[in-house]
Amino acid sequence: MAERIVPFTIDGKKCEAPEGQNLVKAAEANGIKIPSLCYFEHIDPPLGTCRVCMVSGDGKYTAACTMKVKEGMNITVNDPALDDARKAMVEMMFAEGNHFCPACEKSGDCDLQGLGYQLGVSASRFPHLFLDKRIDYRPKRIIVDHNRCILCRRCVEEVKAEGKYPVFGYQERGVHTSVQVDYEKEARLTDAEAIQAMHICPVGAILVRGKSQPRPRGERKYDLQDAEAIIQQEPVAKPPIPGGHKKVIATTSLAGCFGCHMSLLDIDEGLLDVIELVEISKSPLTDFKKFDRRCDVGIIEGGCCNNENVEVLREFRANCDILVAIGECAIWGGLPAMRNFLPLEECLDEAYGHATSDVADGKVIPHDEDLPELLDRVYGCNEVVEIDYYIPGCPPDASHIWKVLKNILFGSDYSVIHSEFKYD
Amino acid sequence: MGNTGRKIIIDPITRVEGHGRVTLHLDEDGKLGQARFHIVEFRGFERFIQGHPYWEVPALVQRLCGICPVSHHLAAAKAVDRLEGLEPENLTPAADLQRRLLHYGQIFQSHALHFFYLAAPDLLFGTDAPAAQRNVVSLANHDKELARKGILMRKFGQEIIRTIAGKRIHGVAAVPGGVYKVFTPQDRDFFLDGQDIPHIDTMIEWSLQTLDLIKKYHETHRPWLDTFASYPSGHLGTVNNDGGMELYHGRLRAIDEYGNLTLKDVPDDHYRRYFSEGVERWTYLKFPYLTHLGREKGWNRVGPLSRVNVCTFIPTPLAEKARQTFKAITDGHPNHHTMYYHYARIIELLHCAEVIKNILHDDRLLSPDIVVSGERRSEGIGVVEAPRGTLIHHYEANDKGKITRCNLIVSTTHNNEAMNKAVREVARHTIDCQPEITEGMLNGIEVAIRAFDPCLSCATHAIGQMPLQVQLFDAGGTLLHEKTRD
Amino acid sequence: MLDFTDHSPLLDLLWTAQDAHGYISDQDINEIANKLDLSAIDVEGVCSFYHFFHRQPAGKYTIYLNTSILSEINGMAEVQKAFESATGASWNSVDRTGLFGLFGTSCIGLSDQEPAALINFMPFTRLTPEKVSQIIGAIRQGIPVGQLADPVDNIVRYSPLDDRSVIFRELAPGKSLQKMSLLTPEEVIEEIRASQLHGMGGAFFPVAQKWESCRRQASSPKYLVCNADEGEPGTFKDRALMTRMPELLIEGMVLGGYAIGAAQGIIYLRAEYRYLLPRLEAAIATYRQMGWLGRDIPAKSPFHFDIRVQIGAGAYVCGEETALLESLMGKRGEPTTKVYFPVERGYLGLPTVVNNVETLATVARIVELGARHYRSLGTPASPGTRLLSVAGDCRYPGIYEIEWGLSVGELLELAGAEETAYLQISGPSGTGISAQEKHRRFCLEDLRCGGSVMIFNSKRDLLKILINFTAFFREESCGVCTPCRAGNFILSRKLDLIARGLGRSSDLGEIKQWGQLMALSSRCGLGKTAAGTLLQALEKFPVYFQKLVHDKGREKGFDLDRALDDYREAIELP
Repeated sequence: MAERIVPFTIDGKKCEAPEGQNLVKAAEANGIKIPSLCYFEHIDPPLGTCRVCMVSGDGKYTAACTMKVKEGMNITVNDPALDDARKAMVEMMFAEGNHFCPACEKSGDCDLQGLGYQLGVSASRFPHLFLDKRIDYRPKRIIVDHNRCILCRRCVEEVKAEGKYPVFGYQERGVHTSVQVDYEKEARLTDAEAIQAMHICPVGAILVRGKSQPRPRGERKYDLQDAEAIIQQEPVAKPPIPGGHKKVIATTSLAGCFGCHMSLLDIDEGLLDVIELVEISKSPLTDFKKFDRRCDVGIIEGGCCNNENVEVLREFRANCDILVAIGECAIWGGLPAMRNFLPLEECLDEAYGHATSDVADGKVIPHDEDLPELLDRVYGCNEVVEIDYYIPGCPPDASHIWKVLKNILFGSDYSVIHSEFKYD
Repeated sequence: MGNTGRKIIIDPITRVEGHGRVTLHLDEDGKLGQARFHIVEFRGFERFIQGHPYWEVPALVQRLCGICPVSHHLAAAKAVDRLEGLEPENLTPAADLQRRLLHYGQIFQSHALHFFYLAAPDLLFGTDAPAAQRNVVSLANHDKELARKGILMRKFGQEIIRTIAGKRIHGVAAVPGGVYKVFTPQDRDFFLDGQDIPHIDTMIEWSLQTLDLIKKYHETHRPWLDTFASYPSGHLGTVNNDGGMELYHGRLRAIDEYGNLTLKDVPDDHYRRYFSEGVERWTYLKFPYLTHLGREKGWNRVGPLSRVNVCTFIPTPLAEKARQTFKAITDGHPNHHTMYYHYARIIELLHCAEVIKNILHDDRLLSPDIVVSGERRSEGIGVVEAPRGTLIHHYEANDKGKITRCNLIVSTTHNNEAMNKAVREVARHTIDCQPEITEGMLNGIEVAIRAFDPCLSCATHAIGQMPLQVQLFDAGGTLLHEKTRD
Repeated sequence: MLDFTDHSPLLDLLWTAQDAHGYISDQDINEIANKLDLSAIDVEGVCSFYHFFHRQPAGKYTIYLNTSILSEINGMAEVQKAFESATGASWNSVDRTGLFGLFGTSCIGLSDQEPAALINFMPFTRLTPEKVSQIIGAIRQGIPVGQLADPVDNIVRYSPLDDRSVIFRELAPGKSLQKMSLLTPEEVIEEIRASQLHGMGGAFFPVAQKWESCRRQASSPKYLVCNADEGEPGTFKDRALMTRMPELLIEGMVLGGYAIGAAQGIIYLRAEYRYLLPRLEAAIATYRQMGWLGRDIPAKSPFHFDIRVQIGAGAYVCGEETALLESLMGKRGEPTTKVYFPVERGYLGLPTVVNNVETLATVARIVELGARHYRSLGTPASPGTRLLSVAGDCRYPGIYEIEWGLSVGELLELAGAEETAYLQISGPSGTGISAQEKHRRFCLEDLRCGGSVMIFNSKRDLLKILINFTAFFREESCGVCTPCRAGNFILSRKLDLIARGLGRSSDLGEIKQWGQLMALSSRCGLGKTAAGTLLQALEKFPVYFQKLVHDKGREKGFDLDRALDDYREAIELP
């Protein structure tokens, strides 16, 4: 029977498509891209697991990928509630998993990351869960990193040994749900099938030994796409800091690597212009050791890993009008948060337990009245104080940092382009 | 602490990378007892790296430090090469040259950063200058041209990194067995045509000018420089097969205070046979030492001063000439004056510029042949000379690719004992039996630490910041005198 | 995912292994996988989904102490401690000898007799620490669990007077079926349509409409499934029905089967009600004997119909009809994306009607009493009666059959409730109301109660109730979609922060936003309703919540001392 082409609307725009066609596909054919993540054309019926493609159809909220075109349907894709819901889904995935973009082979080619860039996610509104997840090395060809899995379910549906036997399967339920491997069946996959499994995965959870390398920056999928496109972000909510006084900024690096500070300096000669307009008060770059006056902006690099980080951060909150968290570490803990899945004692044992020592009692874990005490885990800054702005990156791009700062300080135009907006 | 002693705390040390604190114990007569340099942060990289696939490590591990990420990247890359059964000489010429270019580029930028942005204010304004003046902003206001040169020199190095690693900080360049991008003629021209950034020759010229600057400084401050934080010690660095300065892949050489070899050009992957690490309760930073010499005598300084001390020559002409002048100052003996670190650092700056120029003119750099493969081994060790000293990365990985063990001896760690000694020396000369604390004394201690260009983040794999206060307490905890620096 | 392959035997095969060894071993998994030609990972996936299947030994005597809110407020903590001390097992594990396994579980449908537990799926009610040690002592002496189990009360506290009851009235087995034999299937549907009967499980879908659309489907065979999963905490009316009047259920199923043209009826019975199985099977056997099940059932159109019982394995989400059908087919109980409705393609891809126990029982009564009589009860818009399971802070917990239209206040009086502050209607996925709303009525236009009514007096802490509910959804989420899987966990942590005194006003705002987000984005009813009660409570009790938070400048709720515990412990010298 021939396909019947029927009319329908998306956001008021007249569209047409074959009746019964998948809505995401139909929208795309009509020039409207509904953001989606788990949607994978070959899988029918669509998975509807990630919930990123939420739309409302005649008043009812559904995942667009689970909808079929019907004559006369009225779909809303873009309205404030839906736009925010999509963004929130991506943020929730970032908070639920342990997405260390800086260390990941798939960074730059990752669909979750790409979607984050597209929607302008600089920080997750949800607290990171830091659930302990494994990296499974046991399969013959592949390695499964559960920290990165977003449970989209594509691999479960698509990857079959001998065309028949599922290789991946969901286990447990609730927040303990994970995708595990049938080792016996995985061993039956061909090399090509294993690589195909790696490609199906939208993130870096499935890796093939020996065939997973990061690709050159600038040549990756999301580097090439829309490099000049402007990232849609929350407009600056507050007006620029009033007053004609020379603006004062303070900076600190808590449990960071100093890379964000180095990135601050990466404006090179621009620094000479900046120092005409801005004074640097307390900072590792100066000898101002205390807050001698109130500062307009405090720049925080690094998360909190000991009690002194917490004290310094609280001090910054009290002495600065606006706090800007720069870099992944300040935003949610970053790379140092890799220790969050390990008992603190184990980390200390590893570093100090194996060392030889002249001290009589063998193993010595440093502790002294002159040393700060370590926290049970690494905390992002917004778990300790309210943060006003977030600049993502590891480290963030220098122009991105200064665009944001100039916007906060002077109200200058703030548009960050895609190539400046990165998590790695 | 005796019941009539007191403790002085200097907190934090500024204009260094990372977070440290100094405590000084005085007895009832104000005589200096214990002086300690505490490193106050800990991150646990050695533990949490375990469990990761070994090929992720070079990208991951550079987050130890934001000033010298490339050092970690390359040390890890060399270790990973060995995990795949590859020695540096097995790599293709293009891969080797790219990595070297990257390495020397980052040392160039790091030394420029340290000298111009961090250390110069002390040298140009004097250690007694008001605290508000001692920073890079004042430097820029005082001598804009000099500041601009410093900025552009750092930029040059950063641009080399960006070209090869895709990003200035925390980029990725190395893959197991090579690099992952071809270095194009356009890439090369960028550094040779003087258009977007100054020409490499300008970098050499400015390095020479900076050398002149520091020579003049030494001429006018000689007596102080020759006694300030001066104490004999061993020195450690890597050298090539002929004993020449070699910063990317060399043999481990150490000398004692007299210049006798205590580590005779051993292969870098034998480090475990020779080194042990001690632990103290009062600092998170460990104390490496040569096992056969023991903890007391076996510690070595690392970094520019040590490298210039241990090498027999520098294989680039202008830097070699500078080294000979430098060596003459101490009549050919090893130079133990801490403040000469700055001088040695500029010699290295010059040397890097020369090496960079040579590599840029080597056509093999442009070859598309950039990766080789080998056979898995269970252990890999990578050693490079980071800007701040000898850096050792050591990994074990099982046959499934999982890292099972990790040991890192990071440059500044070797300088732990040395920095403590420097603090004690300065304190002994300036605080001993003084009841009052002056600004100059405080800064003096920091000046000594700064000379080492310590990378304290790396050292304990963490960094932190703290406000600076110096407080003089009596044994009962009553505040006697307080000096704050702001 | 549109996989209607029949792996139905899988659940029972897993039960066989579980019951035989106390756990399901690797060998069991592989044998079952080979037998059904499945990947072992799929068998593992089904096994690990359900709460009562264990991959590690769970004790010769497996104790499930339920963690519902009513259990909590009636002394569950002390009972838990008593179990731990008497058995030697710590919570969620097995004692060293392997004799006892002690686990928590969601509400087991004994809300009027809390704290309650199952031991080897036998019920133990009104537990106290003393009773616990007696029971465990007796078990150690070798007394069979079945002998020690408590008879479960099924007290009907109230039923409308003057012949206005529907369910709880005199029962003459077979009466409705005799009427059925004089009707065509379409006429049966008509009678139900005339009665305006809506489903009693919580969804309230018009029964006749569902039956009709199934009847119209061309494919066959068709199935009639009874949803006896009754997982909504606080609901135990179906338990009472199946104990007291299983005949009504069976007759309702025969009627339903006849109406839609199904040959097979399946009762999906939650595992927590395994102890009801003998009663059900005896009743089924009786009806077979009477000729009302099996072949050649007396009817106007020729008709054969039989009933089997499938035991669930512990998953609240299997109360959702598509998840139930997935479970029936031997898969993980994950709700589907409704590409097809069950009436079009349900069990094994064939037309299936899923009805609640009470719905089917009511069907039997409607045919028996006539739609007109049924319509005369209740209110015009909400005719008839329904069963409520009432428990909590009241003198007379138990089953109440009420006419639609009864007010909350009237119910509270009947139940002997005093100083009521808060009620939860239809369980955690339903509505929370304050005592100020006593005037509201149980009917389709106002409080559409699915059966559960939990009463809380003014001594109870609302936050504790909400924390319990959120933990419930967190445990029971099927895990397929992000907003529910992660969202419930995130909300749980947030509520915990507030309970520890670290909450800020901004946290309340976030709970509201995040709850709304879950309602918008979730893939099924569980996720969509999980945060509903929380959101309502924020709306209705703003003063209470404001007292729970403590704003402190721009600092967040961060407990520094607690964060330093690990370090302080690590450096403790021996």
